[in-house]
Amino acid sequence: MADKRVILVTGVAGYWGSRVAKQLSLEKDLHIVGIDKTEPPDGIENLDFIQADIRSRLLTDLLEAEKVDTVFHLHFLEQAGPSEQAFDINVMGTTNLFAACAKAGVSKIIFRSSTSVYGARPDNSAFLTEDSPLRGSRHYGYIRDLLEIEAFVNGFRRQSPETKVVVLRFANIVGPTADSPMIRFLNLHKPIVLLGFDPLLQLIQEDDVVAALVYSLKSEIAGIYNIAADGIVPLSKALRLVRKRPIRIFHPFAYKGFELLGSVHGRPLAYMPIELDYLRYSWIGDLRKMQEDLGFQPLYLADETLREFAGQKSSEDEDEQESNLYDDERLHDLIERRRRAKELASNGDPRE
Amino acid sequence: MPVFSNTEQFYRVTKTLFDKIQKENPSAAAELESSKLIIRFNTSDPTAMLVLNGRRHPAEVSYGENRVRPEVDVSMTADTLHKILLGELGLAKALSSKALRVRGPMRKTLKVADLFHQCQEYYSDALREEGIWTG
Amino acid sequence: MHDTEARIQCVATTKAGTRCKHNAIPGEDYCHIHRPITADRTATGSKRSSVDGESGTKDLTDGELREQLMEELDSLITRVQAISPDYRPSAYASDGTNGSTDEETEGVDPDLQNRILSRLRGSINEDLLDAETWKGLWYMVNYTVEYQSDIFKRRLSGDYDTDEWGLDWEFVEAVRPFLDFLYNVYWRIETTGIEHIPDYDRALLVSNHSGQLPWDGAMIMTAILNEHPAQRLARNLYANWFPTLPFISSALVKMGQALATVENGTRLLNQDELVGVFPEGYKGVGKLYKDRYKLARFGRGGFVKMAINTQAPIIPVSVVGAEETYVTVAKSSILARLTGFPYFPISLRFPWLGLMGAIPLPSKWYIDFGEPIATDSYNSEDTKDLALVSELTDHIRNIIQEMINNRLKIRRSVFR
Repeated sequence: MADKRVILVTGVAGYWGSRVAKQLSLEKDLHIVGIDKTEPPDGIENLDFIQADIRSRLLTDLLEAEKVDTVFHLHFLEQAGPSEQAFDINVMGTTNLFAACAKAGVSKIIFRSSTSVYGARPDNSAFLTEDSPLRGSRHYGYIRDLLEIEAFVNGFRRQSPETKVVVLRFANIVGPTADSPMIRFLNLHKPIVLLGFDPLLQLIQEDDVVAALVYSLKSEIAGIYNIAADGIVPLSKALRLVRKRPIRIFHPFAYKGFELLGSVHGRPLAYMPIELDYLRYSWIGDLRKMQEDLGFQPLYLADETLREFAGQKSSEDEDEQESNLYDDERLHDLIERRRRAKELASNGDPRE
Repeated sequence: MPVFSNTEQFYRVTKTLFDKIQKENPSAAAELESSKLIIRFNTSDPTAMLVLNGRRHPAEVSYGENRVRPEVDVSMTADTLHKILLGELGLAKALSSKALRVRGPMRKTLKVADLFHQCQEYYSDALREEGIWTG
Repeated sequence: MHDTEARIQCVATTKAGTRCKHNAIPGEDYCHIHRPITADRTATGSKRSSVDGESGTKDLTDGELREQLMEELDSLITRVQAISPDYRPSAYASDGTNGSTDEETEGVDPDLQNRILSRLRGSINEDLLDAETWKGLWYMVNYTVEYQSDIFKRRLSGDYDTDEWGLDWEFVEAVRPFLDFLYNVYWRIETTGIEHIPDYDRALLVSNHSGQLPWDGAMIMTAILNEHPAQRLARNLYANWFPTLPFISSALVKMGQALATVENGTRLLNQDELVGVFPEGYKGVGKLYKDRYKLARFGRGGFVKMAINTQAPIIPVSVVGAEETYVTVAKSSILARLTGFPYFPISLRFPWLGLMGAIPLPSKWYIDFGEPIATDSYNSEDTKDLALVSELTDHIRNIIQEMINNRLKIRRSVFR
């Protein structure tokens, strides 16, 4: 036990924390410590759970006492509306945790961010590299918090060079079990889109998110990486693949309408999981750094993530027991994925 | 049993055919040039690809894989092409029975009707020259 | 006797699917709303063109052009009919605005396409080229792809592919008949020097710029698609205010065009694409009529650096005719600020004639491709030499200006 590498996972009761902890617990030579304010779900073997808040002043002592080597910081509240409580956990919690890590001599911190920090802007280049300016919208709570954290991490990396930081900026996460703004959007009965606009989307499957986070533990490389599946999907095509018929609204009306709704309810755009600008302009991350430097390859293609999502959803529908949406396509996708995974494994990919 | 036993044989016959037309009747080639058409023939049994490019000067026929994007894409088996060129199978019949598939603006192909008739005229000669004679 | 005739009910079916309640026009089968539009087409057409305030367009047989467009629409309608056999063209009705809202929420089905097309057809006939019409035109362009029955279902289920830039070849093929119409019939474009464009290798097309909408880019693209032996697709880099416009932005992306940034251009050239740039930028688009064909400043030579860094030859392109498609006599900065456009043109027709003024004039166009200018004698270190870059930029600007001047000398008039 003493010579095992100690990994601390924050937000272990949450979706990403528990999934990453579960994945890591399969590794023989790792000791997994999970912290959160509430109990994690059952089924994570060998998890060493400690009830703690990432805003605690005693975090440094905890990290030192447990001899933590690497921290997965996955405690993040992804809320649309700006809320003080979320800001406190997201931003204040992160700064506290990072400071504690530097003091306790943690060698590496891995953090999950999003490509939405680049912002959906009309003058975005078609492929945004990791050093593009972060011009994300500040109307949405989680994007605003991510922008704050990214700015802080940028300074932190300069001040504490001995603590390696890996920031993975994930594209729109789609999957049958996770929760993300894009999933919430695709789950709307009638998603709202803007008439005459069809932005390109980059996607990533939830399993690949977990895989990428675990992969970055094994990789020696630090830094910021865009992570997304191969292929881009126009919004209209994405909605067709998940069999949704959108309501199209002429954009000046949409903006005006949401402005009015916002002033009435005090929570701007509470009904829209994705901000209007993000339905109007594209924000596509350049994946060359992921492919060349990090050497990570998501297993799902962009189309596959949507088929998998729609297929799983339709199998949950009890009305249609006979045949589910994309049964054949999904099996075909799965066969292809397994073939690709074998290829990656034979090329020395650390997964499997 | 397919008429052409391999791709090389198919290319030899078609090359003889187009060379013949070029020599005997240059106006057919000029027609292709003025039409500015790019037609691609994809055959199966044997697998082959022919591209007639009317935008080059002089008009060009290329045999084998080609990166040029065609305007009209025609797919069929080599036997179907053989029958059409011998006049055993009508174009309309081939189209309606889906033996011949065309992607792209069909009406543009009318511009090269004469070239098509030239092909029919010289096809049996080309077969004979290459030592394939089916009657 | 007169009474009995007037009481005959109109035989048409309304959009709601019920029998039309109006009485038919005496002596005909339809009421005034559903009257078949072919009846007095020529009469309205000629009447309208004479009240059109524009001098110069009149003698260009507006009627003929409209006939051509009508024919295109007719053939489209025939194709739709092949898919839904019970379709018959109905006449234009003024309640179309309500209809279009339904269309938006209902998604696309062949019947809807029919209605859009027939409305479009009707309005062209009545020369009511208003905002509705242009919206309809964009629908047509957008959805022609879905008329083709074999791919109709597939597209509805999202089973189609785009490249990493969003280029959708099926969309390009679908809008080509419309672009061909503009190329061959409307602007009667003559193209020279197509042989200067390489078959497969990278190259940078540098062109003068004009017109409020990216028609010049679209026509350069069409010229190369229609004339080049390898049918290459030019990837034009467009100005950064097009992405804010509905329909235009999504259509540009589907046609494989990209925003004008150095990164985009470099990446495309490194993928051995044919890239088109308009270095005049919006300075070129917003030129006044009196300044037409005087090239504006060519920015800071970003395109030269792009070409040198990727070792792509530069092919100068001159487009003559496009600058007369919109006659801008003044610019309004207040209106520009209100609309978010970088400039707001006051043309002879716009905004005075409403959106009608936004229709480009049918001037005659010439597109000339010049000799390629090799950049492989430079290396990426040279791009730091500002004097050299600006010298090269001016050199290319002068070549294009000369090409334009030569063409203007031969040209007889704007419309011939």
